Amino acid sequence: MAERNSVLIAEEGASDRLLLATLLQNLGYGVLEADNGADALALYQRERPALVLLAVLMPRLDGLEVARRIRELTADRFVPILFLTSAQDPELLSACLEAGGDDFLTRPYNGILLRAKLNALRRMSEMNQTLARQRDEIARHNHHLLREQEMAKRVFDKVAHVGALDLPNIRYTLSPLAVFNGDVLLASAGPSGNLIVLLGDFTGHGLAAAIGAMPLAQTFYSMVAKGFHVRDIVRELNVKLYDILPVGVFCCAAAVEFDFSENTAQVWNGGLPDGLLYRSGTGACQRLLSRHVPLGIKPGRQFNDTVDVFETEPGDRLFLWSDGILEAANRSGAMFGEQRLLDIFGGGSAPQALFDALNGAVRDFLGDEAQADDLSLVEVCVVARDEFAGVAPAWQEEVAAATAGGGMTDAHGVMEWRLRFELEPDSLRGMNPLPLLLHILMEVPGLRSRSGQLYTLLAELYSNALEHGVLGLDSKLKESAQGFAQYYQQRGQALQDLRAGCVAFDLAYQGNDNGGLLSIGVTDSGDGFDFEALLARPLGQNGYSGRGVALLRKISQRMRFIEPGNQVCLEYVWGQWEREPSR
Amino acid sequence: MSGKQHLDPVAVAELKGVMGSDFGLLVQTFFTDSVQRIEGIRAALSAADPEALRRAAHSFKGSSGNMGAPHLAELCRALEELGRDGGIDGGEQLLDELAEEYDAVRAELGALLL
Repeated sequence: MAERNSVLIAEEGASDRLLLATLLQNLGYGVLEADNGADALALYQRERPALVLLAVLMPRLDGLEVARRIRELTADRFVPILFLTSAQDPELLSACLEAGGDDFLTRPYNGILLRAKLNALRRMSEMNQTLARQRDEIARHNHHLLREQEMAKRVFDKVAHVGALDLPNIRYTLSPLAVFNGDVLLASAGPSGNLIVLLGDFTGHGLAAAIGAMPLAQTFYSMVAKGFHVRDIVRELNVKLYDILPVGVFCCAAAVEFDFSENTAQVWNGGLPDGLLYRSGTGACQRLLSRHVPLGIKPGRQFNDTVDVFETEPGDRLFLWSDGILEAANRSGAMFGEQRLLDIFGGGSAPQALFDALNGAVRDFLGDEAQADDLSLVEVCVVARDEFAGVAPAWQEEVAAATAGGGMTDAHGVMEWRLRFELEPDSLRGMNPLPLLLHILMEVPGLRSRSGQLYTLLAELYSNALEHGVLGLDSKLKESAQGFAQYYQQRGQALQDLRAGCVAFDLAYQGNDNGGLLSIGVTDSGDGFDFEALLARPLGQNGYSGRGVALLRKISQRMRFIEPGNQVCLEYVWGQWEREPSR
Repeated sequence: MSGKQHLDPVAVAELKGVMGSDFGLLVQTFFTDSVQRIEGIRAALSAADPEALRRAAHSFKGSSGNMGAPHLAELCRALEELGRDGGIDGGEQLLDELAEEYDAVRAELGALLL
């Protein structure tokens, strides 16, 4: 045990020893004595005194050797060693210091000088102990920080795991500590079968970057599940981040919404490097330009949610990356850069090999495996609607359950309600009613696993009512390739110019624990149309509005139009439900 | 003997101050020690071992200095140097002087204990 006030005296001469011992005892120290080096060393190991006085010449083991061994034994503690010698020879004195001595005590021994030297040595000793304590504290803090980061990562993973990054048509590279580098990759399928992918790159590192990722992920998954589209989602994410992030902290991001039925990809890119859309047919690439400022910079009313719309084909591949890949630097300091990236796309690789070619090129360039994993890159392959795994019922149910609320049944499990929801021109311009209506329907536990079908019904009915009924657009225009872009442009213009018009939803529900009936009616302020002719057309004909009606009839029951055609009703039944006799 | 002082009074006074009532013990210890040391020097000379001579004389020099006997210490230093230079010639003579000086010191120290 270490005695704070004990001293070891190793000196052969008895009278010298006695004198020193007395001097030290007068100064308040406890004394241990040895008359040879070997005993001195053994005594030191056993008693661990706070201070050692060593003569140079001793039998069995000389003072220099004792000093060396003491230094070996106490690497982590400062034990002052004073050599007892009257030598003046510089070589001998240096040898003493090199063996581990801190100072000398010369004869005749002087009490005042001894006390002063001991005090100086004690100051050094205390400073040494303070340093050791601070070092231990720093080590503890570091350990604590690492634990905190692990925890934060686990919390984040729970939020993020709801996502769809493991779908077969998505491949990605993401650093294991991505969220602490500021990189976030989110993907989710909505109830209508669309896929939305978002790659984000927060400024900063560590917990500060990770904290922004949490609300980003939660908002993203919640909105996608409810049926919101990419423009509303980036708008909402921007508002959230603007509110919570401090000035100077923001998130460069690109969000893409894939519609595999209509074969479109809508791209919003704010601050990420340009992405690429690789055309499987021609091998050509289109850049997904960054047109906006990153998320979290502009207040809501200044935010621009304009997207670039691309037409796609199954087999096309869309790539997004953060600037980590462009700035990856090898040992000479050269950066990977955009040109090397583009060269890979022009390099003649087979489309399905591009992702691996990209990763391989970075790895080869860096020559360092570990750093090559520290970048963020995602590839989404466009597939046909019926091949898209994100519409699998089990998957949808999981998502719906994760985001649903409590439920509205009474004690007997019976539920009955009706609602009417009318939208006037300002609302038609400014809001998407579908997520809200779907959210209400999700309050019915029995409907939760059917969110996909319900969303499809509502979306189809709404788009027909709005575009054909209120805005008066010609659906034939949608059928041609270029017509698509033109159609959406016309739609946007007509909506801007709308002064009068209305779309109304009438929903009514009856049900219990075993089944239920949902009635949906949509009325628009338009003139109606020749629905008899439409219904008379054979099913399976190509053309968007044709597909729409066929799909509606497939999913629902008792679908009927009401003269003059601006009102449509249908019913949706789940489980076992007995209808009351029709009125 | 000559009229020179064999003990440095200032040094002795300091020793008394430090040792207090143990001054006698210190003196007795010195006496016992010194006899051994002188024997050690004598043996080294007989064995014609300069290194042993050097070490023995060095130690005795130290303790004599501590006791405040400067002449004794000086004689020891001379013997130490002899040994360091590798010779023993003249060592016997120095030893005789040393023994004589020691007797004087012992007498003076002994007187202080009365």
